[in-house]
Amino acid sequence: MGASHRLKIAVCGKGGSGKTTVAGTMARLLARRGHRVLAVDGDSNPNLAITLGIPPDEAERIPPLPRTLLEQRTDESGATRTVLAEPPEVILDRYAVPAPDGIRLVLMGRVDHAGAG
Amino acid sequence: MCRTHATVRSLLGALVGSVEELTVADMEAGLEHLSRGTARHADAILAVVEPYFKSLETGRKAYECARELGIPHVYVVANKVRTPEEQDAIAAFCRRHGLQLLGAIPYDEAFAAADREGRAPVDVAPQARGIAEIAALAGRLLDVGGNGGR
Repeated sequence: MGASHRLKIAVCGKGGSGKTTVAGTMARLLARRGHRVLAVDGDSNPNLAITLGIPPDEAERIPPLPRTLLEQRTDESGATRTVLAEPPEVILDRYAVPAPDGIRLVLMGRVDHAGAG
Repeated sequence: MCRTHATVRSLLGALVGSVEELTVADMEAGLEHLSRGTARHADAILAVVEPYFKSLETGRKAYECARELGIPHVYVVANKVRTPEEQDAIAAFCRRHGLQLLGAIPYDEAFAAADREGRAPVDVAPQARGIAEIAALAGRLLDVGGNGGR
């Protein structure tokens, strides 16, 4: 069922617009249709976990992806780009947490106010 | 902040051909991530708007940023729609600005209740009208977005 689908959906909007509700609910409904779903919380004030159905006390303990996963590489032309230090499968296996209906969730990171900017 | 953006961008990009078929990303509130290109690896962008002018304007800007990035599927999704008049106003706004409206989610007290309880709306009220509309949106997205991969 649906194995041919491969789609990356980004949900955006103003704070309070309900974007997290839309993203989380859509992820659950897609997973219930039999799709393998990866949920990504890219908000620096993350609360997708709760909308997915992870209890609040557990949601608080989900570690964000560490910044050391990114490396700066300079190619032959001298241009610098940011790349992942490890293959995505390895990163997901290590850091993604399970959510209901077989969803996997990764957190991009809370704002570190002390060191932000 | 910069690192957060860079991580989302790298991860979304690198997940092409990865194990999961579907990725649903809840992006940073506001437009900054779009102007920086964080979402540029997405196949579909949903700009969630509420039925009032400032929200619609933000949605329009997000939509236009996403088009400039070359995202194949960009849609407005109306949320918290209370009346047919509000729905008509959103549809008119989208027509006027050439924005594609994927659907309108009715205001649903079940969502507010789920928020208060710290639970998932699909667990609190699986039969809610708002849930049914999000299911319909998801179906439409798979129809248009999934065709490219067949």
